[in-house]
Amino acid sequence: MSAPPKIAFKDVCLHYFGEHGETEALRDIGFSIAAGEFVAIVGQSGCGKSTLLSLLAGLMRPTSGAVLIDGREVIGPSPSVGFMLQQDTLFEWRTILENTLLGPEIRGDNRIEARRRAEGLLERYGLGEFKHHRPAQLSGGMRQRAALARTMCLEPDILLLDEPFSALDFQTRLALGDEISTIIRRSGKTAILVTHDIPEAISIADRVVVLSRRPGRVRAEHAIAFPSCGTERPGAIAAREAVEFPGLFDIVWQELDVHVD
Amino acid sequence: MSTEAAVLAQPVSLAKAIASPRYLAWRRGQRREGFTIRAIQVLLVVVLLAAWELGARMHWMNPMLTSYPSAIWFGLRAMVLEGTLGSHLSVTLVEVSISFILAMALGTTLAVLLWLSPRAERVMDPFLVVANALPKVALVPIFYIWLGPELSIYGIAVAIAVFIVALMIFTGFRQTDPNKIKLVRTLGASRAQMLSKVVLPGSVPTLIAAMKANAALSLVGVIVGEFQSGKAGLGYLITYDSQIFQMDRVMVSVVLLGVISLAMYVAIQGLEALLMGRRK
Repeated sequence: MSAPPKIAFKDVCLHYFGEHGETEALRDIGFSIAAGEFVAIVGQSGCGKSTLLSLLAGLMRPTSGAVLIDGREVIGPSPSVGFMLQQDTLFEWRTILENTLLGPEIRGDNRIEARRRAEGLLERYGLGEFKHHRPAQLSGGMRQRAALARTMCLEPDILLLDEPFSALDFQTRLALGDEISTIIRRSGKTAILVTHDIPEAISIADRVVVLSRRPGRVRAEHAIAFPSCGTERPGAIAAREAVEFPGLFDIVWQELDVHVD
Repeated sequence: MSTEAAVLAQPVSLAKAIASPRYLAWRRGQRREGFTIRAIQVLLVVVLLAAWELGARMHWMNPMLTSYPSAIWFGLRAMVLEGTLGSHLSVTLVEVSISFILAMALGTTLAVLLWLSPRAERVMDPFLVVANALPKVALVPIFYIWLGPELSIYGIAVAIAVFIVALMIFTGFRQTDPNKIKLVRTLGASRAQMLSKVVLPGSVPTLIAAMKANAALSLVGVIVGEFQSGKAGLGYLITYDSQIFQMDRVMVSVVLLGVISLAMYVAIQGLEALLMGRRK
């Protein structure tokens, strides 16, 4: 028997219950992700793509079906899963270093070791000299890198990225997408990026999963490869220049079935 | 990125290094405006005091009823020389301080308990609304019978302040950024950790606002309590002096109460500057 995939969604359905009725958010979601893979999930707003991440993070349970990590069902938040949100949610009353140490603090890690780890990460992400600054003193891109350091400080196997670049201005967004995807790729961690930005998904991920409108279903999956760039996968900015890029964009764009109404 | 970082690393006092004449003129204008406002404020106080003094002395109004600034000043001197004012003042100060601390501690505890248990919050909601809306002054005679002359002063002061404090703080807790809560949940935080890592430190501005409300209300409670049952304190002095129609002395106590409330406000303001300054 082969090892189970890193992540597996098995016939996942999710219904939201509210005062004014029941909403079907996800229907029969089934796909799996291999260890070390970088997958992007694209879909229009309200299609349930962020909900997929919340299920993986153990913040909610599916109405039916199961979410598995390493073959085990997810029943609550786990330290092996790191989450990056659209807002950097750095705590303004903590310094950058103290923010980075939030995860280890909650988990009750050895303080000295955690601090060494945090300082190493901040150094590597170019924030070494800003570790005693407050978040308000940093630019949007630097804040999001600090948020990445905070996530990485718990040494998760799996990274969940919920539109982490969408609050940034265009240039920062490109540069940071390139930078962060390179960092994650080098670390060999499994990552899932949720976005509505098709070029971002194609330029960063190994595979793009397209979700339909609500209720979200898997509409298509595409392996992303850039043979023209050689055997090594190009960085996010170089990928946008590749000859394969426009073709991939067209395919995903058609599948998204965007209506402006 | 690196150039952006370098720019950000610089202090923001760029304007100081290359202060243009226009900027200097703008700064002068700002300073002048600040000075003008202070001057008008001082003038307002002087005019008011002068009108009061003049009005009473010229008998445009009855000085027996209104007193007047110089009479209040002499009243203060007389009361200080009698040697009892200090002890009355300190009685009130101690009562206010203890009531303030009790109301703050109880109110915060109540808010924390409500936050920790959403069900308790939903159960308690109508009771808290009634408790908050009830005019607590109506409880003064009841507290007097239940708690006796001394403890009833604390009872009424805490009763007046505690519900507002609890509701203000709880509302502040509820306004915590939901994304920050989501973040610590993904990090595996327990509800107690959410409280200590996010909700409480994120509610410092609310806590300060609650302190300001509490300071004013505790003072009201203590004075009302002293009206009913005090054997000492400024509230007692006000009742006593008004019954023997010594308006100068009543006014002295009122002025001192104004000074106390100002001092409490300034102290809380200082605490706020200290706490918020650490965040910059």
